[in-house]
Amino acid sequence: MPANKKYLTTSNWSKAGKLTAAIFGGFLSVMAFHLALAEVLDTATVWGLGIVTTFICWGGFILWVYWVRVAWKAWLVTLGIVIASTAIIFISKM
Amino acid sequence: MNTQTKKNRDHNTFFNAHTVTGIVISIGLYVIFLCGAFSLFMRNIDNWEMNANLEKGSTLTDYERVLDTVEGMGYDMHGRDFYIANQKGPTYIFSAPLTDTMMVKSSLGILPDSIASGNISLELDASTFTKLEHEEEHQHAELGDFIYGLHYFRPIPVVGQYLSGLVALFFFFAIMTGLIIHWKKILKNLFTFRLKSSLKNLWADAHTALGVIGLPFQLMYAITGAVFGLTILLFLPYAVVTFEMDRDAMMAKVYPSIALASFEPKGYTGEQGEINALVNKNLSSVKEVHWNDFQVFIKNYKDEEAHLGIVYFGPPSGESLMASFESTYRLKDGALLNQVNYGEFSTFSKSMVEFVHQIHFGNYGSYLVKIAYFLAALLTCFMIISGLMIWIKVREKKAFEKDRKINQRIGRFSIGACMGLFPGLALLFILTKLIPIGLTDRFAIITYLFGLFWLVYTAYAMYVKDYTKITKHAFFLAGVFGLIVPIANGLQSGVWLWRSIDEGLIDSFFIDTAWLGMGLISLYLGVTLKSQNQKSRPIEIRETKKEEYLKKKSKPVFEPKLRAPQPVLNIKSADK
Repeated sequence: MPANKKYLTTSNWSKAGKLTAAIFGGFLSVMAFHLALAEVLDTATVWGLGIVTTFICWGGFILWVYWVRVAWKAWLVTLGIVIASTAIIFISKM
Repeated sequence: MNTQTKKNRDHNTFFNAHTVTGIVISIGLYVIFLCGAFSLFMRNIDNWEMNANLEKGSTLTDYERVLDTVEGMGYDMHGRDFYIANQKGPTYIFSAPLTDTMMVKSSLGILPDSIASGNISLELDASTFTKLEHEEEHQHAELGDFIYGLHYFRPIPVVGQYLSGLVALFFFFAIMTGLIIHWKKILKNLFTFRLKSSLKNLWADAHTALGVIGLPFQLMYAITGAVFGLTILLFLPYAVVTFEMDRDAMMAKVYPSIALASFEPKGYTGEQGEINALVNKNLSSVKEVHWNDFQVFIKNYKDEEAHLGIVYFGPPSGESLMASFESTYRLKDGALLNQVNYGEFSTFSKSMVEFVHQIHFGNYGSYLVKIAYFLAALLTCFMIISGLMIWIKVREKKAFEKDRKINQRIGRFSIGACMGLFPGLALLFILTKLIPIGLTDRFAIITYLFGLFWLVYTAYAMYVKDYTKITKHAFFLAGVFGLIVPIANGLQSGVWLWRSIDEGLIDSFFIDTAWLGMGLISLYLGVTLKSQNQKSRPIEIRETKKEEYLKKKSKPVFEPKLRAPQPVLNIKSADK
């Protein structure tokens, strides 16, 4: 019944990396994405929809991190989303 | 890597993630759901505690007299923003300290940091308009609020609410991983309930079947719970990045409301404005208003730009998912500037907030909705317990011999903490009736005793070790306490169950009856619950079948022979 251990990671570093990537990376990328959307589209609408979608996307990101199971990949994607979103925000604010 | 191995790997990863998340959030989630189930009725609990029916009895306060009374106390009033509510009897009035710019503009020679320009937070008696002292204010109506606070971990300082939000987020994650694990068998398992199989299978079937049945409810609460717990994450990033620290601009955009708006003062007029008349006029145009939910905002008091806002937050038994009712008047000429009627769509973002609020609190329907919510929350509590039991039963196997001690401790602690909460809540209801009113720090003592009980029960669970006993005794205690609740209420206030409805105290009747029912059910469970050992059950069945078979085969010949060895066995055991 319980998960078969041969498929699971044993390294504590890997576990901690995945967890932090899931929580913080997830929040950073989801928030950055929403903020960029709020700049491009109607702010109030994005915020209103974001009330619900933020947490759904965050949960989805956590799932995705555990699916790829490599923390650095998750952080790489986070970095990519954050940089892209920052660029969009920066350009639209100019 | 071939696809089958990858599939296995994914399945096991999500399975492990589900298990670990589940065991980490279990106690927190159980507290959230059980206390949340009770706090659906927090208003009724408050009314029960006071044995009053505020919705019928109270009337609107005299706002002009309230403001005059406060001015008479020596406060500088010009340019202040006031919040006035007549909740739970007394009238509450609040105003933040005057800002420096406001004091310069009021030109009344008020010193900064003096009492006159400082914070106003007063409770005035509803009929005499005298100031109520702190002890008087808080001797009543705290139980509903306390349970509601416990529901989002308010007793944990600073981080409590955020923790509850994180628990909700990981609850969402657990729902998703659970769905992925069971996706292929979701239909089949929904109709599987192996009562006669091993105990582990019973728990597993209960967990999956109830999980699928409760899925929409739980998904909704996972998301809306995260919204409430982590609200700060929805405001702060937008305030910093999108609105560049301009709070007022943000609020005007995403949540336009008189309650949060601020107006630029123009100059002192000394005119109070027709506040009472405007409020009464406004309310007469609205149907079904519950007075104690009505909040009045006054912006820039006695100024050219003085405004009156009337806001009605979330009805106790509404009929709509859009719960806002709001009007803004200019006090100078009494002009209606803006009105959003109850049940009307305001702006998209504001309506989203209201929608989330309404579905989370179950305020959009009648009490039947709330009762359905209550039962669904209890079902979720059972799902959490069954998940814990699967975890425990699986870890009793030989493969987990190495970590047996720590696993057992975690299991006992979790089950003990979860099961101890229900009798604890019942005790809380009794204590609010037994601890005499007027005692200093009355409610602190009550909550302390409640916490102590919960702690002692958890310790007791660690000591007893047997899960059936932990559950049985918790239900027994909850049953006894639950049956005492209506008696305690009757003894303390004389409002007995059979008299409350005649006196029109419907909430007193409702809570008393609910505890009577819950007490009886708990007592029944506490008395009849039997230990079901996983290993002994199948053997028992086999034995009886064998006996039946022997009896059927040769009754007269075998019976004496079967009985014959018995004395010998008895002697042997006696020798020992």
